[in-house]
Amino acid sequence: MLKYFPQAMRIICLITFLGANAIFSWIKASDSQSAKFLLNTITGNNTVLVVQQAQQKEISGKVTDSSGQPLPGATVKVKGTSIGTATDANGMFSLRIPSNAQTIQVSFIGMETQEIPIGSRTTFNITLQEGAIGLEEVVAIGYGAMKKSDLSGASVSLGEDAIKKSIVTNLDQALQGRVTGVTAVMTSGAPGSSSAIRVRGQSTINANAEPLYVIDGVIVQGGGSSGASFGLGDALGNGPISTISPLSTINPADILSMEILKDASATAIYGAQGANGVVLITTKRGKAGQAKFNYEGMYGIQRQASRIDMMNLREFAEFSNSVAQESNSLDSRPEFLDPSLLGAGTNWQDAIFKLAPMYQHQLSAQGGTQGVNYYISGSYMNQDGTIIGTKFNRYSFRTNLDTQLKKWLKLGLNTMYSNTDERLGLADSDEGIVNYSLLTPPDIPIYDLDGNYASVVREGYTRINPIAMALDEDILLSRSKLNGNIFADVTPIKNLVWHSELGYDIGNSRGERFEPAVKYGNWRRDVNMSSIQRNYNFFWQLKNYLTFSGTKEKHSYSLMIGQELWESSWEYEGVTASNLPSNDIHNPSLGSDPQITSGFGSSAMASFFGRATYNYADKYMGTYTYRRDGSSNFGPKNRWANFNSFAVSWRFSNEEFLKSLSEVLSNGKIRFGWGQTGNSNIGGYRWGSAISKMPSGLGMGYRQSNIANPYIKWETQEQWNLGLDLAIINNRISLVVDAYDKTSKDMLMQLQLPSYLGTRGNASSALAAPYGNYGTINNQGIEFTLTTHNLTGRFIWDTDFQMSFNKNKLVALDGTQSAHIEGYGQWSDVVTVTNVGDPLYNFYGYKVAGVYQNLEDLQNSPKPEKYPTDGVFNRYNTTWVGDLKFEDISGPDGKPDGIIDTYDRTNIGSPWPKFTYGFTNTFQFKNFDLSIFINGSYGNKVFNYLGMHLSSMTSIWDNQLKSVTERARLVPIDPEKSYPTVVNGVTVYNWFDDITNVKVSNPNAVIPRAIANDPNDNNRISDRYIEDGSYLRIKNIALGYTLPSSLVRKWNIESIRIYTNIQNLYTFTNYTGYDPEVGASTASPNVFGLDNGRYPSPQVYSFGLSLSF
Amino acid sequence: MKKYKNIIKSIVFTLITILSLTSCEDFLNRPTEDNYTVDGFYKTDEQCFQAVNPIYNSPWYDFQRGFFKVGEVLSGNYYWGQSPYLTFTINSTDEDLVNMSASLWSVNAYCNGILENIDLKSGPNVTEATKKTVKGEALVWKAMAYFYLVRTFGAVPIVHNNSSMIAEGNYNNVYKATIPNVYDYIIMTLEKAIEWLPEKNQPGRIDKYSAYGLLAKVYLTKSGYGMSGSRNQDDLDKAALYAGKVIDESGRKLLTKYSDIFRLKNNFSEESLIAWHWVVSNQWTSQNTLQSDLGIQGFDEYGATWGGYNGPSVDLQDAFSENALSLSRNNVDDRRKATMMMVGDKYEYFWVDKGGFDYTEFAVNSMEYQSAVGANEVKHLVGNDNDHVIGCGTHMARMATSLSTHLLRLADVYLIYAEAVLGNNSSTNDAKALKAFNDVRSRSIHGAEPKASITWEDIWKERRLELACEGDRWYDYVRWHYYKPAEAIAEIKAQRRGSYNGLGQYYKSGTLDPSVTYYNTNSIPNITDAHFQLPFPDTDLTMNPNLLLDPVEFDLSSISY
Repeated sequence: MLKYFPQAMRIICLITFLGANAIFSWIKASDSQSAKFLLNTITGNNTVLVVQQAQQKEISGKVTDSSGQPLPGATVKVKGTSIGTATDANGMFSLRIPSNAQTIQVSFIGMETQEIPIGSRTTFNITLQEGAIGLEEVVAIGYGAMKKSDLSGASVSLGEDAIKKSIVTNLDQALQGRVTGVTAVMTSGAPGSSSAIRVRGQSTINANAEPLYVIDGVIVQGGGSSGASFGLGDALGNGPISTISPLSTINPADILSMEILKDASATAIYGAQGANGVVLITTKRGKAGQAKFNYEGMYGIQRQASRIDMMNLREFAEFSNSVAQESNSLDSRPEFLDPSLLGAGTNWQDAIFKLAPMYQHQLSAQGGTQGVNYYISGSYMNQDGTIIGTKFNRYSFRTNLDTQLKKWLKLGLNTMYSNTDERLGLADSDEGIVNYSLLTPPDIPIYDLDGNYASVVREGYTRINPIAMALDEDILLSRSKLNGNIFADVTPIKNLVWHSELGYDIGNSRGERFEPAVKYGNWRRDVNMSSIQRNYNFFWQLKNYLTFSGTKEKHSYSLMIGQELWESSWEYEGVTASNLPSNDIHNPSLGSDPQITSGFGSSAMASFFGRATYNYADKYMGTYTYRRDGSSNFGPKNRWANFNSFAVSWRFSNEEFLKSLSEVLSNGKIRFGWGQTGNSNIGGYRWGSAISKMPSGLGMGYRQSNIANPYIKWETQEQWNLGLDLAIINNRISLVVDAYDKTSKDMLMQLQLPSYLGTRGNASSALAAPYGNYGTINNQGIEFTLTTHNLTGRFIWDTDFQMSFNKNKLVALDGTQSAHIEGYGQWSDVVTVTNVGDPLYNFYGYKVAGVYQNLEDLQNSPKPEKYPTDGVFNRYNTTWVGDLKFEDISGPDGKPDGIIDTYDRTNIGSPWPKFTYGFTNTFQFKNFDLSIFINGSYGNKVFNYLGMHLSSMTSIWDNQLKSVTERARLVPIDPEKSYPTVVNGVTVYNWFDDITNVKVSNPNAVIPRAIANDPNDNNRISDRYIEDGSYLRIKNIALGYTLPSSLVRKWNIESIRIYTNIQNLYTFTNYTGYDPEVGASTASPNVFGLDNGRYPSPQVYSFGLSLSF
Repeated sequence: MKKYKNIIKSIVFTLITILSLTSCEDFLNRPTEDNYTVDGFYKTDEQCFQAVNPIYNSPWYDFQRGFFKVGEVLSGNYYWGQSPYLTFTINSTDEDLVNMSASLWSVNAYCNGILENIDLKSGPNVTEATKKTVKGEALVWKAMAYFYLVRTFGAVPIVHNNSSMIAEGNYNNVYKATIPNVYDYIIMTLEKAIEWLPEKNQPGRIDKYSAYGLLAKVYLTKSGYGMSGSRNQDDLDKAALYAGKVIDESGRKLLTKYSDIFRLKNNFSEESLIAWHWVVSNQWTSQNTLQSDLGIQGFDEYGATWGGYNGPSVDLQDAFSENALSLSRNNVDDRRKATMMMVGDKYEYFWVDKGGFDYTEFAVNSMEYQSAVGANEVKHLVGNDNDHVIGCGTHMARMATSLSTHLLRLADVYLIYAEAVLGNNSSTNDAKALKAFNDVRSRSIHGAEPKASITWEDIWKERRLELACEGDRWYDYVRWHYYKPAEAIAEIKAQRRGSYNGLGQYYKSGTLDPSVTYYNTNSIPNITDAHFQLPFPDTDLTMNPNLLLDPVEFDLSSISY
């Protein structure tokens, strides 16, 4: 019996291998389209096994992944030969090999190939590492799949592993620092918050500069990104974006890989929707074999590590006294007479931040029997925010099914259902919790003696207690989403596959606000307010494409043509009312005069596309794509547009003349591509003028809401890309370099008009300026990824370093030479101006040259607006000693004119980094694994708008930064001078009213004198608030331990891994606010990097358990 | 093989079906679905009126603060602590100034849009009379916006047709038109409005006499421009002519009780010739928010009143012979109490459900006293929610009331008439002028001896008392400054614009301790001629540097209505 064993084993191995491969290839095929490619992959990669008889020995062993799970279908072969086998369902293999064989090679899709010297060993336990996607790997390319090695465009893969290594609530958070050419900045540190993802720089002025996300072929629908679109009004800010993330409804644990398409030759197949880049998401699918269960659990604690250096009560009292003394416009507050008697007062920062727990459970089952494979998962996550009152939770389910109904017919089904519940809070903006907590002075307690919230209203100070605001006012959002598709792959004849797919995304949301009727101290709101809005979104897409592919000798080719249609429709109804009889039941219909809002609409797109690829001997590769799109966003005059692209590549390492170098040069390829993509993200019916309702005292009114532009058309983008892939010493060191130049033309934007055309002012009342194609933006950049396997063997050390440089420029803007793009801070204050030739969204304002030291300095410096023409200085009404001296940069003639006025405003910094980088080191020793991930950004400026409020000194009721004690302090030049005296014809009674007798005691002060009405406008937008936003962050440290399988086997468990993970451990930065990672503004479009109290990203300490059985 | 044929057939069939579907342009033709479009509106008379309704409120929304701060704070009628309008330190980035400019130009754009849409889009069922009325209303509003613009900013560009300016792309190259040019443009606009408007319109709407009244005010204002010491007689005559038409022909009468003018129930009163007609709704900008800015904290239930610290100025109190350092009130003139609330005042029309509003009880006894000048605003206030319901049947809301804001009242036209007739004379005893003047005065000062002769000073003061805190005072200074700049500046410099110390202690204790409670002499405002033209908003200056250059004569013969 025993002597037959090897033979039988071989047969079993062979059958298992073929079965596993067939199943696996089919999974991939159903996921993408090209079965032929996959057939190539199978035959090319794994070849037919030849079992040799002579001089053989038997080896056996087991292949597992890093979590200890067996890998069925992994390839084990003798290096340099075609002798090999595949592992069985339990990851076991055995193989007869020539006794002189040196090395075995173990590979598996999605894993790094390992080579092990054979020596005299006969049993091998091999653990494969998930990692860089191998060259033979098939990756998604949009309406198809392709071998990584055949790609000519620029795209990056992000595997499951990278997602798992960080603590992410939303899948886009995993992109941060891990993908070249992609900058990911979280809009807020709130749980489930959105990120600003920019693929190769900001290339449009439109609100929607985010990439297109496609899950298993279905375009993800967001249902809106502003609070207003969910019926939350301006509760989350007035900007086109908010902290609400369209992607937080998707469970990242279901994702197998993400493919980020960057250059136009890769994204062109998405035509009109590809201009901002495309992220293709592939979810997990069942693998043939017995049912396997996997449990992942995580628990973490989040905290806010940093605090802003504010005044405590003693310091605040001293400040208050000194301001009263300096400005003599206010009485000293009697309770502050002796600051040394006071305590520290209320620390509002400590009051709004808390330790916040988060946890996550995910259970999945997968397997396959007789042509049906399945992956089923359910997960729950709950995350509290580190600012009190904010929380997020999500549960989600997924079922992915694949069936082989006939030899020529495959059917598949993907379904995902998720539900999220959020309690949101407005952290940033002038009325946000962060601003309120910092400005509320330490002499106001959180609670009064009865335990109620305390609030004190004083002249010009009417802020609500921020704790009460955070906890008593509800901003709630719940969303549910059903997303998925049904698809069929029909293979009527050899080499031809017809893929037909119906996708859908159905979303509902419910946004609720409640403001209770309250009385906190002498702050009161006697009337409560309740509002609820429900939104319904329905999206369907139908696509069909035919792929014909084949190989003839050294030529291989594929041709694809297809068609796609989608329609997205939406509807909402909302009710708002105030005056509910009590705060208990939050139902607006209980209030008086409930107001109803409702609306509906739709948009649609129709497209035709095609792609041809050609490959000669794996040396020369070429791709051409074409797409024609029609969008309902455009009028009949310009509805359709065509998009073309091509890419070629040369894999020079396959050339004969370099074969001799193959020991050193594992892979070398040059890629070159060009393509066009488009953007139609402007919303519907800009080609006509709509009418909207506006009630008036005379009855219902209907106003024209916008100025039409019937000629509005597609924004188009053209991009060149030149790339180099290089791998040396058996792929131990690999380098990918890409350089690109992309230009967006006919940029869709609202025409910026001067106020006399009547399109400015309150968005609720102003006639909206026309949208049109008004500008050109260019982005150029270069990206590097360097991956090295520093140590292999028992101690494994891998390094991944990547860096992206991007330069952004507004090339042209229609209108006149003086046309520019403006962005606003909180309301109508201009903080950014983009002039033609400059990068987008430059901060714009005055430059500070110092403070006026004394009268002589005032007289000898350029004259500010409030310089008294008659020479009579006055502390309240004119520029004074200790005010900021701004630089005289220009004048009406373009030269300095000795006058400080609007001509002297200039570019004071760019929010865009010169480069961003990420650096990952992973170590593995025995059962331990450790990964350290650092990321950062260099050269970007942050506008510390929060700091502007915290050093304005315009009200003695506002707490201020501790550093305002270093403001310009005024002292008499001659303390002995007697008063009253006459100065410039005006009688003055004190030295501080006598311009001739005042000087600054600290000449290098950067903060001006304290003067409540600020006549010199010291608080105008200036470089005083612009700070370096560069940072280097220890983003993530993950340490894991896999329990020895010998131990866990006894418990009938396949593997157990426990790990601990620390996120955002430390940030090296010179930025003085909470967090230098500041993205798109939630208050205004065209502003980036403005910190008006952004919810800081928390530190997370977590531990987790991964268990499979 | 037959099986494959079937498959291919089905594929081809499916593809053809799909392709024919997608080629259908109808699938992609999607105008706004839940709203009207310009092409589908203006089909009935009613729709045409509905199209002009929003010009009575929404685009003016952002002007409310500028309206009050320029009109009243700048002119010294109102104390607003730390406001640059109190101290003449307004910058070109000032939020209220920027909003004011945006709002006024927005009105102009809407009016131009209505003129264009009514001409191009109105349907065959719309009557000619309606078209004229609606366009006439738009023209008066346009003239009103320009009137505010020219008096606030001085020379401004003439924007006659927004859509053609955008289409031609020359909007960033325009120059300012000269001030006389702008006045001529306003006159041309109003003359056309008079031609089109009916003698009588629906309640609350602008009619022919609204236009006459405004035209009279424009001529009176313009009469001093470019003059020195005296005014242009032609203009004065025209002002008298048009004001006289309103007095004689409109059939409108003054309300008998002064404070009634400012109550909700009189939103459409006959005394009001031009008014903003606000309404509380779920569309932001449809409402009056002045109660929030001017009311004392807690005046209504919505927690959004924050104006208690400011109030009608000491100088205005002086004009009413009223003194905050006294606990007894001087009630000779009804207009005092209808303008400012002070210690001892009770209002039967506020807080009706609580038996009336007692200022002392509320502002002194129930809280720390807030006003720095011993008075708080009355006009523009509605009261509490119940008062709002009584007044117009609906509730108020946060930062929202439905109270109309009267911009041109019959009493104003009466005083314009008197002043125009007086003209450059030192006094007049013209009977009709005297009647106009005395009618206004005697309504509020009961038993006042009718004046037999009036001087410019009499009218100047009467205007101040009659129209106090109605957003008009600054423009009186502007037109005075046109021909007597030194006098206008001197009067402002002499104003008592400051605040008191220790009023709360005085009112609570009832005894005046001069060492605790005293008037703070604020420094004299550094007002110069330049302040009579406020700066253009920054953004416009950067977009169009031509605005910094001298105005250029606009050829008005090149345009028409």
